[in-house]
Amino acid sequence: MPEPGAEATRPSKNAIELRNVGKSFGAGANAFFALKDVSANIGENEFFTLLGPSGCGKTTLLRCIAGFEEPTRGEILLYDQDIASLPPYRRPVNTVFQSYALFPHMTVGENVGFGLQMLNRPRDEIASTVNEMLRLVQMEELRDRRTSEISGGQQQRVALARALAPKPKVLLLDEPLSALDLKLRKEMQVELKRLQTETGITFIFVTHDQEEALTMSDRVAVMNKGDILQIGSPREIYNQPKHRFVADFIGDINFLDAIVTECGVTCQAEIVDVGMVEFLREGEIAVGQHITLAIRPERITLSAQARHPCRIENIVYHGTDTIYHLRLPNDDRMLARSQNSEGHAPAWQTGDDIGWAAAPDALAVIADNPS
Amino acid sequence: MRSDRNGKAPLGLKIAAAGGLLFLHLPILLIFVYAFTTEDKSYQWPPPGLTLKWLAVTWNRPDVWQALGLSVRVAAISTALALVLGTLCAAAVSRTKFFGRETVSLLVILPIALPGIITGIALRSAFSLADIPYSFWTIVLGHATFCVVVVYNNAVARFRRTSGSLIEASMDLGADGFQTFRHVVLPNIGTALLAGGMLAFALSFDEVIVTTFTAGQQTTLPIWMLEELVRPRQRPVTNVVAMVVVLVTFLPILAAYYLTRDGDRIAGSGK
Repeated sequence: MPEPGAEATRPSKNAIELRNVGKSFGAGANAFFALKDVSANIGENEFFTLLGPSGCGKTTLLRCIAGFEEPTRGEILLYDQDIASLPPYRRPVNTVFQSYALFPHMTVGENVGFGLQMLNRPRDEIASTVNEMLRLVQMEELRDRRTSEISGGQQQRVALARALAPKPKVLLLDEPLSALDLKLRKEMQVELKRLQTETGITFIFVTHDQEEALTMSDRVAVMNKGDILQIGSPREIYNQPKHRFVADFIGDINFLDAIVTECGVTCQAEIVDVGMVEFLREGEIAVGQHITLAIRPERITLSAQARHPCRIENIVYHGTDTIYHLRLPNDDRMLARSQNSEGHAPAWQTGDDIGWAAAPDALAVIADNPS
Repeated sequence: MRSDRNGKAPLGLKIAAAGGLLFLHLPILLIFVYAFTTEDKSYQWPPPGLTLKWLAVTWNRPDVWQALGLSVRVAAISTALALVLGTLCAAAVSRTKFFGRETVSLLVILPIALPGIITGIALRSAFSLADIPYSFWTIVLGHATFCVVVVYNNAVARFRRTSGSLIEASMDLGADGFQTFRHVVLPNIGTALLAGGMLAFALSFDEVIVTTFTAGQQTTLPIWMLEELVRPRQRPVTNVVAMVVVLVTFLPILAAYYLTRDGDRIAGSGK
């Protein structure tokens, strides 16, 4: 088990620095704060993901970096230079749009070359870069097609090639995979990651899909209601969520209310009517404090002998794994997931009384209390 | 639907449809026929004989050329004016939200909904109030009022279909405002502007009512024809001119129709 946070080490150089960025629409009492007070450092060559539900401000933040929106306060630094006053066409930053926004009156090749043409690059340089970019996204043979004559997945690749062609310092991707079907999306996830590694360009990726965020990112920032709640590696975000929202937004999770009874290197807490659980110390915790512990369904081990009793209310077969809906003695519900191994029929049935246990590092302390 | 394609229309309906079409287009055909008649005092059916001499006579009449020249100049300039103003207005209305946007869009369209005679009287009283002498330019202004509408309507429809993210994509890729307009906006609204411009030209070219109120001594082609009908002298000359007007106005409208149809197709299946 790696040290928590070990993966989060990142290059010392910041490509983008967000300092207390705020954006409001409207004024006075009707003002809507799309971004409240967002600060983050995005390292060079990093694959950084902004994850959150729709309306959380992730796209607004991306548009602020691109220059389509002007932050109402705060600073955005690109390699230590404040870019707030630069119009979009002066920023060495390119965007892959959710709708792709390919120019319908141009061929695939002309689309990819547009950025270079605007930079007044010589003709032969444009031609060779266009070919290079199309090779990178495996679209060489479609160079002279109209953008209306190619499929959605191909359009996606062209949009990528077009945004990469001017060699931006940072590439912004606004939910670029949301229009693709599942299979294509999985393919493009791998493809995007490969492109990012090959080009060495910093990617800022916006998505509401938690799986996409976990599989591709070096670091993820989970956003809600105009704020970044937690920034960390996919592993940290998944295993050590600091906020109830973060925990809940990414996958299934169980919340347990407990009272701290002892705190040393590891802590003990009592879940009323359920029993004592052990967890790792995280921040300031005092004996007697009411806390919320979170645990992923797959981190719960079920066995007949385990110390905490529970009753199986439902068993749902999912192919690769089985989900057990459990009822605790304090009447709380809990989900547990166990991987199916071949030929292994479940040992229990609905209605059975069994036991559950959790390793200390499986329990995360949730900072905010539900109110 | 299949039943619509294969179903046979009843005979009565076919006859009625044919009759309707004939009623609409036979009189136009008559104008063509009378352009070649040998009788020059009155319209007599059937024409006593056919001749091509009126083409030559028309060709040599300076007043025809003057009127035609004036009409073309008025139509060209009001169309050009309408193209600029109509496009700007359409861009503003379709791109941004601002206070009074719906009002602006209604007020722009209003002149074409108003009877021409109202526009004419309004302009005439405004011109005399402001002490503007009637001239070539007052005609142009009068025509521009409805030409702007035509261009605006075409442009606004196309702007709405052109996704706003295209402009953002262009800006994002390093194109400033002017480059974006030249390389991205113009190619996308080009056919719509051409269609709107042609319609505007055709409308201006055969406009009578507003022109009578806004013209001074100038005679545009339609006005000239109206005057010719009152005093019968070499009547078929009028018919020759009418024939030309039909061709000059019909061809652009036809072209505009095909252009906008192709514009629809770009985004579609391309069958």
